[in-house]
Formats: sequence, C-alpha cells, structure tokens
Amino acid sequence: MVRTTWLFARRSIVAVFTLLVLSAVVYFASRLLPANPARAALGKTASAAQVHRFIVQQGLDHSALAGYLQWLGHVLTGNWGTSLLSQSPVVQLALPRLLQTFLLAVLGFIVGSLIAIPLGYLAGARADSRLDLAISSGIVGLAALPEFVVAVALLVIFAVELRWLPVTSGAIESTGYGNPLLAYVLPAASLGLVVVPQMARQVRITASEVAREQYVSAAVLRGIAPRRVALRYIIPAVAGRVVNVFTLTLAALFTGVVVVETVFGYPGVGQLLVTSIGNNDSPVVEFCVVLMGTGYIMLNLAADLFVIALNPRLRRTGVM
Amino acid sequence: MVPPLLRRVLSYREGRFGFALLIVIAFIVIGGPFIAPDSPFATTGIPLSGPSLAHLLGTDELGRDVLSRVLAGGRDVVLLPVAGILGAFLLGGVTGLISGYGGGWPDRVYTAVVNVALSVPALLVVLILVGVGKDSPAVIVTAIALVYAPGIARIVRGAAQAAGRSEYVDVARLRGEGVTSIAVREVLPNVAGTVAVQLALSCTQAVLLLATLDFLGVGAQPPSPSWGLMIADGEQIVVLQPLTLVGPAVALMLLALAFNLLSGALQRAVAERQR
Repeated sequence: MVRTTWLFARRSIVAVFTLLVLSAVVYFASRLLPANPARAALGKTASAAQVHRFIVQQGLDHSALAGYLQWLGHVLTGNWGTSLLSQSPVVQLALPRLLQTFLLAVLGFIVGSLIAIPLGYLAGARADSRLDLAISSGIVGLAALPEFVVAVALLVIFAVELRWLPVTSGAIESTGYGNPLLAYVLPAASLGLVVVPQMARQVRITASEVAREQYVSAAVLRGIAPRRVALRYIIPAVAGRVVNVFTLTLAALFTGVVVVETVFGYPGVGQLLVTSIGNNDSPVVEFCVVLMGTGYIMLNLAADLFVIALNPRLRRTGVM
Repeated sequence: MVPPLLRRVLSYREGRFGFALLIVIAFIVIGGPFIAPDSPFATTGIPLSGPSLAHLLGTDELGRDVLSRVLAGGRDVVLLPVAGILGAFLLGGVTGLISGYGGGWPDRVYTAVVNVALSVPALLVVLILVGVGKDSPAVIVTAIALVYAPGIARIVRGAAQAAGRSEYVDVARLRGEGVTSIAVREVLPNVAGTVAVQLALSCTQAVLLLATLDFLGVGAQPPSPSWGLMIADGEQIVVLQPLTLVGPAVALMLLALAFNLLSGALQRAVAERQR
C-alpha cells in the first residue's frame, strides 16, 4: 500500500515537472523566436511609446529567465493577461471554449469506440480470414490519411454536396438558426474516424490473442454456444486492455481536436489557438498551449495511475 | 546488408506497391517543377475554370494552373520534414547510441530526460514554435527535429543497449578493439535495421504533420503551392472548382500511402531478419 502511494507520488511529480518544461518551452519560444516580440505582438502601426509600455508590462526588459519566473508567477496566481486582439481577459475567452473542446473530445472518443471496437473484435476473433483482411486494409488506409483530409472529406461530402448537415458549428451558435445538435455530428464523426485506426488495431490484437487462449478453446469444446463464449470469456479480457488503448488515442485526440475545430469552425480551444497564432496574439497562444498541454499531461497521468491500480503486478514492483 | 533488406522489402506485395508509389512521388517532387506547364505563381488562365487542354486540372481562384501547382508543391511538402527527421536522427540517434552503449548513471539521466521530453505533446510544441517563428524554414526544420528526436533517441538507445550486451561485442572487446571501433563496426550495423524502420515511420509522421501545419495556416504561407495550403484554400471553393481541392488531396494521400506501405514492409523485413 505504501509502495503504491510512493509510485503515485513519483509519477505525479514527473508530470508536474513535465508541465514546467512545457511552460518553459512556450515562454522562451514566444520570447526568443520573433526578432522583436513586442513589435510582433503590437504590429507595425504601434507607436514607440506603446511598444515601450508593452515591454515593461510584459517584463521583456528583464532577462529571459527573470521574465519566465515573472510569467510563471502570473500564471500560478491566475493572472493570464489580456488578449492583444480583443483586449478582454484571456481566461474569459478560453474557459467557455474548454467545455466545448472537452465535449467534442468525449463525443469523438465515443464515436470512435462505437466504430473501432466492433470492427476490431470482428477482425481479431476471425484473424487472418478474408473479413479480417478487408477490415485491416481499411484501417491501414484510414490511418494513412492526415486528420484534416478526413475532416475536409466529410465536410465536402455531407455538408457541401449532400447538404444533410451544417458546414460550420460556430454559425449555429451565433445566429441561432438551425438545429444546434446537428452541429456536433460532423466534428464528432471526423474526430472519431481519426482515432478509429489505433483503437481498432489494439482491439483486434487483443481479441485474436484471447480467442486463441486455451480457456476459450476449452469452453468451445465443452459445448458452450459461441456467443456465450464471446460474452463471458473474450470480452472481459479485452476490456482490461481498454485503458492502454485510451492512453494511445489521447495523443491522437489532442491533435485531432485542433484540426477538426479549425475545419468546422467549432468554438473550442483548438480553434482559438490556431486563430490566435495567425493574429500573433501571444498571451492567448501561450494560455491555450499551456491549457491543452496540462490537460494532456494530467489525463496521461490519470491513465497511468489507473493502470497501476488495476494491475497488481505493477503495484508491487513499479514495472511489468 | 542494405541490398538484402531491400530485396526482402520488395518481395512483399505492399513493399513493391509502396516502392512504385514512392518512385512516382519522387518523380513529382524532384522533377515536378520542370515538367509543369506553367509557373505555380503565374496567372495564366481564367479563374475557376474546369479542366481543359491548356490546364489539365483547371485553374484556381486566381487563375493559376492547378496541375503546375500540384507538381511544384511536392518539394515544400517533403523536403523540409525529411531534413527535420535527419536532424532528429543526428540529435537523438547519435546521443542515443552513445548513451545506450555506454550505460551507467549518465544513461539513466539521459533516459529520464528523454521520457520527460516524450510526454510533452508534440503538436503543441510544434504549433508554438512554428506559430511564433513563422514560416522560416530553419524554424520548421528545427521544430520537427526537436519533436521527433526523443522518440528516435529512445529506440536507438534501446537497440544500442541490447547490441552492447551481445556476444560479438564481448568478443570484439576481448580482441582489444577500442570503443569507437566497436561502436562503428559491431553495434552500428546491427542497430541499423531498427533505425531504418524508425526513419521511415518518422518521415511519414513528419510529412503529415507539416501538411497539417500548412493546412492550419501556421506553416507555409500563400502563394506557396504546398499541398496542405492548397487543400485549405480549395476547401473554400470546392463547389466552384473541386479539382483545386481534389488535386493536392490525391497527391498527399498517395504520398502518405507510399510512406505507410514502405514503413510497414520495412518493419516486416527487419522483424523477419532478426528471427
């Protein structure tokens, strides 16, 4: 029990450290990469006085390290600065979008699971059959496509050509026209398709392994109907691997969310990040990256800890 | 050592197909700008016109020949990521090789650093670096190198560590060979298979990552004929002239397919060789 707590603590400390590294990368990139960060942020029309005020305000006249510590202090006390474009507090801009992005990620994960798990199971339980070959080839083909191609393809087919679904999610929110639920369909479907290959592959491998296990053969030989064999023997074993799959798909989800939100104009954090980059709105960019990075690292940590809690072998030694 | 591996890769159907695709893509990337009928930046036709003899894929919203732009855009899509991956190999591969073979406490420190670097989400790092540094090629190459180096470092280090413990290395050491000599003549050839697979996989990911960046508007800027950028622009006018979207999309998908098939075939070839 003590060992488990110590393991938890160690992983958590590493996670916090990783967060600090990410925040440092964000700050130093913003600070050191542009030739003149103040100019880059304020634009060509700003006066020298405005530039100077910006420099002092952001702590740019101090060294990079001092600036980083000052910025970190601001961040930890909740002072995230104001958007250079809209002059509103960054927190106000980003937090409502966080809920939307989270919702999209969850929906995407659900859609992806609904497609990937049955397909993967069918392919794995009948491994090396023609069905398996067909499904696996489809998965490889889907995996080869970059996320934005999948999203744009869905957009063009369903929204532009067939006109079944709305093109932009943002328009429904702002104009109040159209069924708001429909706005979620295409983004969730796109995101789901993005994560299907990885999930399906894992489910397939697990299903084919378990199907070959002796206790399954024994059950079949004993005369238990195939469906009952599947339900009571194969599926519980597969479920154990689900957490592992979750961790792998997390990375794909985070990348996918940024792309899908941009393609569909979905009002989430990812879209805010991309448009702020285009606008050189560095306070917003910094906040979004740190926010998303924090989410990613924390979720990974949670999955890690969950796996440790589930697997007694890991609990004892810390390794498999 | 390389030709037998290549022969085995080509013996698989996916290897042959991927290799054939790769030849086609290489032709487009290297020779594209030379065989293109028009300059990718010049307005040579009526905007948004469909396919014709003068413009096989039609023209885009500014009247530029779509086919020429697709042929010219291959360079932007492929060269920078590949350069970035080579950089990642120099950075991660060399340090991984040394650390894995050497061992000891420096190796443990190195592993910890690499693990932390790996848990930082890649796209976010690239977005912030390229988003702030804009589309300077140096920034893009460096960003890609930094992001893929840890993954490569971990693989190479593992392989180097395994090779360092094997018998032929012990024999070489007993023969009195120096550390560098052992590293180059015994460890490196046996690590090369794994390294080749990782190279292929990383290149695939890096090319798609850069295409995604271009699409988001964070990487290449107009009027660059990068395929990702063309897809983003083409999406706006897909109803009027779908080929502006379909042309670069198909090219990109063929490229991704080629890389994926080859990576898969290479993986199989290396795995079977080690059995």
